[in-house]
Amino acid sequence: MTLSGYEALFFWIFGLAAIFAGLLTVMARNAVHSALFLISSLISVAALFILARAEFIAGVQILVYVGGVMVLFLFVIMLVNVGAEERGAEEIFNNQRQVTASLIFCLLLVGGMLYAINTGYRGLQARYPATPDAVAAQEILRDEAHAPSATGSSRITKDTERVGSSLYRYASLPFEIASILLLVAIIGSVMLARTLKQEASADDVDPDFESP
Amino acid sequence: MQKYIWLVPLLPLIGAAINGLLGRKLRFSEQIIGGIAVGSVALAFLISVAAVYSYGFGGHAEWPNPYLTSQDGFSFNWIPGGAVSVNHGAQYALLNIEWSYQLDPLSSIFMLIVTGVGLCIFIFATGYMHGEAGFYRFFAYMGMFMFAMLVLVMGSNFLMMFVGWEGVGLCSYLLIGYYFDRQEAANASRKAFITNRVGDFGFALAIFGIIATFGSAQYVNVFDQAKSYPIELIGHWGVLSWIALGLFIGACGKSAQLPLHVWLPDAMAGPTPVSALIHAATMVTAGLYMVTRTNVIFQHSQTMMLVVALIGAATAIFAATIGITQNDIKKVLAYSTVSQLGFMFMACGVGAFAIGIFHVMTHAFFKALMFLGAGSVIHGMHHEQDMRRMGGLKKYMPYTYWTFMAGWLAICGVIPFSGFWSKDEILWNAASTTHIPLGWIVWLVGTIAATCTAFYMTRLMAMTFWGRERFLEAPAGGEADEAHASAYDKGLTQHDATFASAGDRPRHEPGEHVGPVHEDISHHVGTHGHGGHHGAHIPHESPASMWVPLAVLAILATVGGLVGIGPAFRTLTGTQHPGGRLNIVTWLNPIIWNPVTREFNTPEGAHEATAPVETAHAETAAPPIAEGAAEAEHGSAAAVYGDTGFNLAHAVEGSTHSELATEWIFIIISLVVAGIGMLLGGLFYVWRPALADVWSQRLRPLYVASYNKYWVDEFYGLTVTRRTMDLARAVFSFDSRFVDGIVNGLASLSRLFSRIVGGFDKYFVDGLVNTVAAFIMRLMSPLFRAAQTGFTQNYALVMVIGLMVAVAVFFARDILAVFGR
Amino acid sequence: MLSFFNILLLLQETETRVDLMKRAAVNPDLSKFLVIGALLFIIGVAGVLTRRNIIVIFMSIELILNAANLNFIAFSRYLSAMGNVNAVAGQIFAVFVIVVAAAEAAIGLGIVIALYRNKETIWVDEIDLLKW
Repeated sequence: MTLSGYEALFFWIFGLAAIFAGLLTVMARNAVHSALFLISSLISVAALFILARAEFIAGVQILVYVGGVMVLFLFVIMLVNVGAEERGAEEIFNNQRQVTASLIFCLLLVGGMLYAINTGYRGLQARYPATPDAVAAQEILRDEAHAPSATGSSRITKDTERVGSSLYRYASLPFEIASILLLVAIIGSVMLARTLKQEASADDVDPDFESP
Repeated sequence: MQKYIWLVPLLPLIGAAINGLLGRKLRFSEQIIGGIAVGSVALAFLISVAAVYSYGFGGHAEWPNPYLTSQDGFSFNWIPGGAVSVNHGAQYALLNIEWSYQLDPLSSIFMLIVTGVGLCIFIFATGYMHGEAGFYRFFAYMGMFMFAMLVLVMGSNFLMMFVGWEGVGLCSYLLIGYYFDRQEAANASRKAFITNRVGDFGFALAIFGIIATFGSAQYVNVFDQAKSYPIELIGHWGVLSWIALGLFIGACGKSAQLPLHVWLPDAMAGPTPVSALIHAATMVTAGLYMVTRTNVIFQHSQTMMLVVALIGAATAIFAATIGITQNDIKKVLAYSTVSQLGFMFMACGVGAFAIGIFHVMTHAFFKALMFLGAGSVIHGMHHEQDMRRMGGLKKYMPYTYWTFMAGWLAICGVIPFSGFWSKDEILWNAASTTHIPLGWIVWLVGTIAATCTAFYMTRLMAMTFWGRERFLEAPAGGEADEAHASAYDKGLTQHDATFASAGDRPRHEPGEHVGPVHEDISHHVGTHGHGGHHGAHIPHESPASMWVPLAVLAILATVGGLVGIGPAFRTLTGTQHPGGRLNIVTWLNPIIWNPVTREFNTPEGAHEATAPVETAHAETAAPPIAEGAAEAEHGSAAAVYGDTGFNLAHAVEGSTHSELATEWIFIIISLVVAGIGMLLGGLFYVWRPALADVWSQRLRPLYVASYNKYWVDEFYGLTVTRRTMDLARAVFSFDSRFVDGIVNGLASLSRLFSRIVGGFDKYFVDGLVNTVAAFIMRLMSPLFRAAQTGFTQNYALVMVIGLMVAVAVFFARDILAVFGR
Repeated sequence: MLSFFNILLLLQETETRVDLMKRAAVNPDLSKFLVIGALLFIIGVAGVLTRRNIIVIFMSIELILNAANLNFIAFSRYLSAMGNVNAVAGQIFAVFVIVVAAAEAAIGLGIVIALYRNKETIWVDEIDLLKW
């Protein structure tokens, strides 16, 4: 799956962009800035998905993740007042001990992960000894097999088709369960975020709650 | 009828149990209580009479063999004793003590005396004790006493005798202390019991010796074996002498002989019927019974026979001389009893056991008579006991007077009253004995004692019944009870009650003056502090329930001696012992052991039987007999006991050359001395009353010694009583200091030890626990608590750390390789 | 265009370490994807542990989930290249991760709203009711 040429170039661009955006997400003072950086990070990752030939997932990521979840985040950020934070009166990071300890362990953890990746990849290579040339040649062949698009400048991949057929056939049970999960999430979030007035009008006040 | 003799002790016991247990609870009236008591004794008497008749005179008379109830299947194995080792013959014997009654000549006489005289006394007591709140208690104790006494005399072995011995001692204590709220009575009852106990110690040792020697306690077994033992003459002291010594110590205690006589006069603190029954007729004769029962053993020990005779003689004269000076009528009679008991022991000591029992019988008659008469006098004089305040009662109390006179003549030994026959035989046997040496001293002392007896009994008659009516001049004490009689002796002419009387006897309040208030009584009729019936007491005759027994006893005292008409009268009666089996000597012969034949006498009579024995002696060239063949009974004994020194009877006979004449000489001597005594008594107290004071002044030392009873009580108190209490105090102080000190010391040690352990526990153990707790609380707790920050990101950090650790573990090999390189 | 670099590579017989690195950089492989995923993951963890603003913490959690997604997709691509017929499972996994992330975000933000209404704060170090 070696990327080459422009793919490699765009891989590095979007990869670094994702990391950079992620870093800024956790370091931004303003929560809205944080959200926007996260959006950019997510879009970068969507691009990486496309580079990984998972076009459908990229689309889903942008539509659902960015278009739904991040919008929701922005709504909630607006709901809770962060004026003080913007003015710089509040500290954005935790106390020093917590931050220090976290960074140390995170560094240790990333060291461990990187080492694991390297070791694992060497093992994988030992397992799948196919040369990159043969692999690349096969991929080219497959890519050539795809139907060209309407404009003729690219080919229409079969990723969506594959995901769909797999999702509705082999993964249909998790699919249905996921839909129930979403239903529960809807109900739960509606219930959690009601105001007292809304609860009272629905006659759904907590019996232990003393009305003010 | 002999089969039913076991009922004889049982009936009084049942009566006593009913009276004692139910008398107070069910509030029996005096008639019922008295009826039960008298009825039970009367029934016992009737059964005794029938049994003795059928034993001795009936169709299948078993006399002379003893009859045991175990023969007819009523045997009861009381103590299955098992094997006991004996020191002769077979190594072991089976000591099974049975509870069975023995009817033989000796016990039959005592049965009749105890139940018969007892019956008279019981009837008297129903009248005498009338009005007492403790009526039931009195008859309960009397019934118990009858039971114990009958067990004593009817028992078939030494242990039953001992049971009865102790039982009568107990009942004597209870009855002397009947007026338990009086200090004198309590002291007297204690003294009687303790003195008895001293004697019982010797008796118990003797029983142990008997069991160890003979391997049995049954009379028939013991005496059968004892027959064959060698006789121990004076100077040889063997096992039988030891046994006899123990037995005699017991007899001294019970029958008030010389060293242990001190309790009997004090025992007069009890009610008069008690004094009559227990301390005249029956209990004090238990010693005589025991000595006669064991005459086999005594006759084997010449030393002990001598001791018995000498102590008996000493007691006789000792007590007689004291009785001369006493003023309390009951005390005179008490000392008279002691003296007469001495006479009885004299008889046993010189070998005339049957005569001793004969004197027991006649003494029971006339002494009980006189005690009851004294009781009647006391009752009539409203409980006045001091003879100095009596006098001239002859015309106020005629029945009492005439019956008392019969007793007086009997005790003085006037022919043909009962006392003459027995006392004369005693003196004759003392003079002529060949069992022991010094028989003539015993005779002399006995004669002097007889003179004194006659003197003081005449004095008693004179002061009480004849002469001036002194009670009109100095009013009688009135309501003074027997226990206060000693107040008179102490010279207190009037006595005040010290305590209020106990519930049983509603009489005095403390401080209430009990006695004559003024010398002049004529103005104070009925104005005494209590009851209002004092002043000039006009004595009155006693009711019928009291003088009828007196009459019965008077008849017995008059004619009762005829069962023992002595051999001196053989010219009149034709035989040595007239009356066949009714003659007491003949009757008792089978239980007397003859040292010559070394067997118990056969019923044909020892005296007739010794004739062929005597000829046998002559034929076989027996050891020379000092006197002629006419000395059948006594000369034969000389062969056994050796030369016993001067023999008065033989000396007299040496000059008269006729045994009959010798005997009559002694009879005349005893009649003469009795007459002298009576005449002197009449002189001093009837015709010349002033002489009494004159002579008491002239013989001042003797008078004082006699009046103070020779200070024997004081001597005992000083040497024995006080020293015992000193010992008790010493032991107590030792115990409280040393023994208690040890105990307290141990307690202190325990406390100290517990303090140490407590300190250890407090500081060490608790310190440990506290350290652990402090460690957890102060050190670890904040530590662990610090982890609960509530800060979610801390928890997330911990999760990350855990994740990192998991990764590290996954790559542990490689990490170690890194460091190992 | 791709083949140009390949031919260049093929012309070189021996490879030095720098060459290896150069080739690795020029031809990013599965491991690069994973590295990027690991870094994003760590950044997300650091954000969760260090930030005070609860919304930012949630966003860091989304970063973490995203990194996991990237891992899945990378492996899916690799396996399909290796000829594994089940390679599409990675993408399926990623779909469901996105679904769960969305649901979780909704619920979590609902909780934040409720928490904000009660405690009037979004700073997590002020929400320490479980403190001893």
